[in-house]
Amino acid sequence: MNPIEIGSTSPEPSLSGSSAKWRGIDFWSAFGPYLGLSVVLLLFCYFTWQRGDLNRFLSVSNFKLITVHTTITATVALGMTMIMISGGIDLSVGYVVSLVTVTMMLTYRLAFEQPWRQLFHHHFEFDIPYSDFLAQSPSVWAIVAGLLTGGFTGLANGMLITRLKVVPFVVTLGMMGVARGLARYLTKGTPIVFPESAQPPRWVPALGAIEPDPPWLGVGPSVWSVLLLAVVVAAILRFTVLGRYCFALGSNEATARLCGINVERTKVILYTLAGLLTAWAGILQFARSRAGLHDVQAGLELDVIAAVVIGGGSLTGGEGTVTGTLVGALMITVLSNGCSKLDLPMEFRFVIIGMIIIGVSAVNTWRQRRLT
Amino acid sequence: MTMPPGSEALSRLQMAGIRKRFGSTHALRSVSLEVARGEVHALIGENGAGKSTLMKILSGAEKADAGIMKLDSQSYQPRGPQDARLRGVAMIYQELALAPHLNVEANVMLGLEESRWGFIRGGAHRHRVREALALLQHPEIHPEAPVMRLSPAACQLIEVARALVVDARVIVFDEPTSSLTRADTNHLFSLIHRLKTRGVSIIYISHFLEEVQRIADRYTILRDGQTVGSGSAAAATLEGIIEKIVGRSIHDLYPRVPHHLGAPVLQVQMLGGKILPSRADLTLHQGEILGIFGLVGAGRTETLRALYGLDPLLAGEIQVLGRFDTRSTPRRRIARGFGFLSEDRKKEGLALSQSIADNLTYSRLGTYLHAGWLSLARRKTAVVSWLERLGIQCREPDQRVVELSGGNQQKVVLARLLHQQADILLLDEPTRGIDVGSKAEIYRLIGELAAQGKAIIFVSSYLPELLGICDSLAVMARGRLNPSRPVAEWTAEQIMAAATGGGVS
Repeated sequence: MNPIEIGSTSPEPSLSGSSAKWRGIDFWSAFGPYLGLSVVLLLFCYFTWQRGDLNRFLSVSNFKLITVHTTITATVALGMTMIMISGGIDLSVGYVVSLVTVTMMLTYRLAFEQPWRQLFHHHFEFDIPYSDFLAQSPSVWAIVAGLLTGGFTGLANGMLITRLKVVPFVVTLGMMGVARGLARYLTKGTPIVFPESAQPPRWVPALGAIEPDPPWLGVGPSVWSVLLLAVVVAAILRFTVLGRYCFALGSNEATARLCGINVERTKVILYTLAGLLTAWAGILQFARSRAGLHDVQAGLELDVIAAVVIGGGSLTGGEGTVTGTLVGALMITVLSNGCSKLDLPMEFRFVIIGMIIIGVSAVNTWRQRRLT
Repeated sequence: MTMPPGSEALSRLQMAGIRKRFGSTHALRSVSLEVARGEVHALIGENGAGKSTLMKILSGAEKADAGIMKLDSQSYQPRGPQDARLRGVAMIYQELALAPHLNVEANVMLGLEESRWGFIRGGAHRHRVREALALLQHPEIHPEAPVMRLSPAACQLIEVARALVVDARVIVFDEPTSSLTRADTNHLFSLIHRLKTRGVSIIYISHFLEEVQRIADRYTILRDGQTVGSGSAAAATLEGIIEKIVGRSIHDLYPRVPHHLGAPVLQVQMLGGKILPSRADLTLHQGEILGIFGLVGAGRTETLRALYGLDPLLAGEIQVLGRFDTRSTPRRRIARGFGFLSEDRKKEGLALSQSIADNLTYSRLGTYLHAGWLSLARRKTAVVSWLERLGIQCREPDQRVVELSGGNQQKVVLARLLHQQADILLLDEPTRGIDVGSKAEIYRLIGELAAQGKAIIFVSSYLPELLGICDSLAVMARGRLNPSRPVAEWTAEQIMAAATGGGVS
């Protein structure tokens, strides 16, 4: 018996308000971030024009500068987008970026200088041969160390959150302290730089460049790397099971559990992925500062969370987009760039970002209330 | 089309001798349930009777301590909700269990994603979801519509679709009509009928006995974790079912304390809130117990909250003791003798992690101030006397409220209202989620309070208790509350018709 035939003579009238209206795209969530960015751009254009030096702000070279300066915030924000969609948060990102630069430089120097040779010589009167294998590619070891540092802190965050069942805010706050202390301990509070006997490897200035070489790249290679990662993260969120579970977790964790989703495993994977993205941000920072700096990105978490929130993400989970986050990150950089072009003090920027976070959240709350 | 019960060939689900203990309490002592193929089987019982525990065991969310379960004559022991779903037992939850940010398709396929290398096979999903929606005869629901924007009825359909994509053999509906309009309820019933004709077995949990008689083939009644009756729905009488549910005759459960009505204390005209209520009128007298009946979502809670100054008012007038006093705040309302008992005892009514003494005195801590300091000793004496007067069972006043039983928790809330010297009590579902014994005590307490001259509004979705203890009764439907009439002037049928119809507006 074909079930579709049963009683199908009169299809039921559509349910009250079931599906008619949703097709209209929600204007604010679709265009809000772009609108915000446009407003900020226009405002800075206006103010710089008033001062008579619009060219300092509105120029190709400044555009290149802004995009490269966005890369670190944007990379970390990509990971934060995934985490915040799943209903979590990661406060440790700033100091993890710093820690990554530190472990990278330490590893680079270890592979290059191989200090254990002297130790052995001194204590055991035994000479270990200088390892060409290690010395030939210190960059590779440094990058591996950086990725391991970021990946491991992410993994640790995920494991602690799911095993100890402590809220992400507290776990990552703790991790922030751990990363901060470790970075400071390893550097003894001073910057560590490339060994005097060696020039920085070629990829370092290339990756950190604002004017790309070759010039047809348009923007620096770091920007392209972020765009590539953004495509990957967007694809994960949109087309993979992991991405769907990520939204499900943030939207309704109880339902996710009910539907047989391995909530714990999903979270651990998400935090680890985010940690790896943070590691890439650390590598970009390493290329930019050419040193291991124990507090170079302190306070980054504020910028990153602001970027996600401006881009439509929510601290309660279930919402967020990659494009929105990128626009949000760009907006943050434009703000600090514009402030410096207007010779406003840097501190001003923090005030503006803080107010934007509050303002955007207030608008979102108001929208939610209007929709329901 | 009633299935002959007990016939082995037609049996879809057998649960026998199911036991379950949580700590020291026996949630289920010995429960059996048998459902035939293509049968609608009503599961009836009060809150706390064990229905939800039984259904959790069936759907794999809990494990039974003992007992046998068979599905289509094969042993059935689900390892979890997902396992149960894959084996063909699906549950449609009372609070809709959907992820609001995901679209219809993602919700239906949640946990069942078809993927290759981790990538979702969208085409296969859409096909399965469309098929399920077509089976439901609701092809107009778009698979990509975000669930957040759908009506409760449509959300429920999506849960049913979730069951259909796995070819469920048993579908459990837990209070499915509690948030539906009458038209949507009719749709649901015809859907259940269609599922039944396909051979799907339905377990239908409901408080509305009229509904049960209309749609069920057979029923099983639970009380205190035991099966106390089952049979054919057509042959049962309403009174017989109620007596089995309650376990005693109705007169013992609803003790009547003699009291008489005085002057009006609260008069409400054309009250309108932001969304709900759309129009509420009522007059409450001294010494009166006024029941408000209505389905969930009718606007009863919103009306009480608006009266208490918790929700904003857009229209209407409120007179308290003859004086106009429309817009207010909870603080001013308390000062004028109002008391409000929230329907959500755990989230709103009580600060669960705090002590009994705190919870009892929050609303009038000022009386224990001594030069700016709280006199804890004096407060403790007062609290102890309240605990005795209301018969609240606890170790000590400093015990945390979360450790008390539901009935005792609710009495703490009532004690708070009395402690703040409330004369107009707004009680929203005061007997929700507490056992029969405690209910009887709360009914008696309410009667005594009325005899002391207090005016009481009693909101409930359980009609028998309203008929049992109220002097007058008003029905709320779709935001509209009409003035009350004495209970004696109502029949149960009229009340149900008014509550589910309400189509006058």
